[in-house]
Amino acid sequence: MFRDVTLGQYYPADSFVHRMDPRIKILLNILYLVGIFFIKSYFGFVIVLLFLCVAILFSKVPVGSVIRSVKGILVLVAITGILNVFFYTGETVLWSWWIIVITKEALIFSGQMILRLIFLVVGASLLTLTTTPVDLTHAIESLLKPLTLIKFPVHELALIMSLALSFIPTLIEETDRIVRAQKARGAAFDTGGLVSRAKAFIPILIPLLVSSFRRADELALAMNARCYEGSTNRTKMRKLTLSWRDLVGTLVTAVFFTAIFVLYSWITSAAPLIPALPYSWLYI
Amino acid sequence: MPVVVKNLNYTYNPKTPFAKQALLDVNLTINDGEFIGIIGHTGSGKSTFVQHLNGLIKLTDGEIIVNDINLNDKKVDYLKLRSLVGMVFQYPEYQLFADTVKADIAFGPKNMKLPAEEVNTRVSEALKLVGLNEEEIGEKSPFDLSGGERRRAAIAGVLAMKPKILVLDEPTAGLDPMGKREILQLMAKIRAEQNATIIMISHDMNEIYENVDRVAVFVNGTIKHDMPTEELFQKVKIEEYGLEMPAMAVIKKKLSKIGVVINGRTVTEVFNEIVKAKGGKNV
Amino acid sequence: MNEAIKITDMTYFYRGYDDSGLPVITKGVENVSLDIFQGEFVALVGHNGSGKSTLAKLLNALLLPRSGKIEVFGMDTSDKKNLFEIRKSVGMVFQNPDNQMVASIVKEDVAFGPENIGIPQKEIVTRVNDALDAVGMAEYADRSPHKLSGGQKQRIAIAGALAIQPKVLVLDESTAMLDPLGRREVIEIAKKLNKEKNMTIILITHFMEEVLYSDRVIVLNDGEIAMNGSPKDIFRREAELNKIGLRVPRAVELARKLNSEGFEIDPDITDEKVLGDKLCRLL
Repeated sequence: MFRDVTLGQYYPADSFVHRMDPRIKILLNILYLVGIFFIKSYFGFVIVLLFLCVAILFSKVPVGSVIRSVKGILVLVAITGILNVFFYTGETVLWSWWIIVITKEALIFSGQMILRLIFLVVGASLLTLTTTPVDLTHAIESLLKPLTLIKFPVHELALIMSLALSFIPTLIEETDRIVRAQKARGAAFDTGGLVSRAKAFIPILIPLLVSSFRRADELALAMNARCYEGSTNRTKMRKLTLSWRDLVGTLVTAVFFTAIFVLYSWITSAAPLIPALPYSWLYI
Repeated sequence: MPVVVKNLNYTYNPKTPFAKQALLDVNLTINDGEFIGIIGHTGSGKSTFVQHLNGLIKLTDGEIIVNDINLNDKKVDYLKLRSLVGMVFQYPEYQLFADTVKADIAFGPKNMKLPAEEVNTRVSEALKLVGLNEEEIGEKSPFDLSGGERRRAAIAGVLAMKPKILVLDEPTAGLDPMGKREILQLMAKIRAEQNATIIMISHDMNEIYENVDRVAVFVNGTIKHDMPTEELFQKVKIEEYGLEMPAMAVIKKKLSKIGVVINGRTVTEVFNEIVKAKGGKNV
Repeated sequence: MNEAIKITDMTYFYRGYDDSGLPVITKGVENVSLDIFQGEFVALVGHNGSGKSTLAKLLNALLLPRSGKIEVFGMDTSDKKNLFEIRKSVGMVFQNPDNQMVASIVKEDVAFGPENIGIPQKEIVTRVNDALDAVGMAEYADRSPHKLSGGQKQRIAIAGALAIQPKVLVLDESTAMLDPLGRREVIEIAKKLNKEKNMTIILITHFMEEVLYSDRVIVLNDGEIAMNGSPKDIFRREAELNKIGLRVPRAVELARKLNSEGFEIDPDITDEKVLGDKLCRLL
């Protein structure tokens, strides 16, 4: 079943989170992402961590899979972190060399940024780990429906997403086939300078492009043959319905994030008093 | 010099939950100038096997020697190997990419770093060999050709590398009867003119029966049978492997059961033989 | 018997451009007149470029005739008002198994047709289940079509067409890209639908062996109808078939040859096993 899913991110399981309505999951995810940026102290991070643990527990996704999803952007996170260390202007200089200045404030800021990014990715991954791409497409189409009032092509967008999802594995396979066919004719993709390596992709890209146009053509024909006429009078087999799980999930999320927002407003209003408190650095 | 394959094993995605053993202890020796057919149900390992011969799939377990190249060497010259073993994939017309047919055919020779003049000569020869007119077709875009022409142009692209061993994966797939005939005639021509060793994967048992000298039957990743064509279709019950008996072989088998031995493999040959056999008896 | 499809003196040509940008006309079909009755199993054969696929697309108004007309269950395809009903009556499955999939889950793909015609949600579920049952793919309903074999993919495409509950099913070279097993799967379903549901089947193919199951064979050559008769009638005109680039099945060829040579062989034999047995008795 693993291999059945495109993008490979979905982890099939029958959990509380898996069974939640994908629309609710998307909305809660957005709330989560916003909430992360309201964290004003390390207490906040602890709360988020707790929330994530609860979510992972109830999604039955192995922690290993969750961590693996972060691996991908770890490099990006590291770079962001390092850049921030160097370019954030702080006051307490810890170390300097030439034009590079590292301040305590920069380290703290950078540390926070890294933590935020990691939490962000883990949270977003939980969404894709527990929701099939098909369900995500359905959910997005449903959530964006109000936009049809301003003539935004919601249906077409959802269709394009769903078609892209279906064709990704086919296109990947075809690329592989073309690469092998050109390799059999002596093509090499791992030698030479930047320019020759770029040129080496032409025998891959052109057949792929031509083939994609042909596929699109044939697909359009097949869709027409099956009475496709756009979104007018279309019905759907899959109905997204809310259940008690969505209510519970929303409440739990609300509780956690109320805590964060409360914490945020406390700290903001108490800002002038912080430096006087012990362990004041915790409150940033 | 022959192609020697010994104890070849291959597993896709080893050490993962998706591991799949595609080849199990495959042994095969192909001699110079042979025309060998490779048959077997879909997924039996045919493609995996042939892709080892030109290094598209790297040898991980076993021994393969192609002419004098040992694929277990630390540094295998894959360019040399691929000029030696030419491979035509299924629906090869889908790999055409250049502005003109000539430029596409030149791709192989150019990759071999041959001098420009040599490249041009080879392109002309390849076009001639596949029966495409150089003036008419050469400067056209490959995408403007008919389906049959595109396939021949793609094959020319491989032939231009002058491989001593030619591997064809279902060369007649998707073609109508006339198209199939043309490709098979082309293969006969290549054999006659270049004395190349030809390895053909096919699902068309009639085609296999009428053209190849020897057949290797792949079943679940291993070669179950390896013998001359005639012998295979008379002795082995290939229906058990999900394959269909060639029409003429069915008839000959039935006749051999009553003691009448008929030679020949095409309809015409079998017909002549039956007439001869009849002539020897009083009816 | 009712006329499901009535074609009267229909012509279609393609408008395109040649290399120098000048408009050029390519023949599609010319002055074709044909009746197909409800419940018939009709095979449409011809070499590549003979107009088979053009004719197929004219049947469900994917193309409209340039002159003449086609009536599907009495509805003129050129009349825009009829488009929806015509496409609901004539289902079509194409050649490439990959290029007909709209969704990444089987049952969602099969539901595409009914969704398009506004079937209420509960009924869509029933139709999808029935369609998948009819093609024997019910257990794959929640799977991704990507990893399936060609034959299985085409069966899902057929299910997708069946979900609209057409009266006519056109298989436009749907077996051309399949291995023998896949071809058998598709043909078996076509036969079953024809027999059990009285569905009109139009099988477009260049495999003459597939023609054996049909009630009637229509041979196209160069855009025109060259022959129209039962498989037996068509096979009797072997020389003509050869001239237009088609061939009869090998067993038929041999039977006819033997028959003209004076052997007591029924020239209409199509099965090599039957022919073999007959010969055993004669020799």
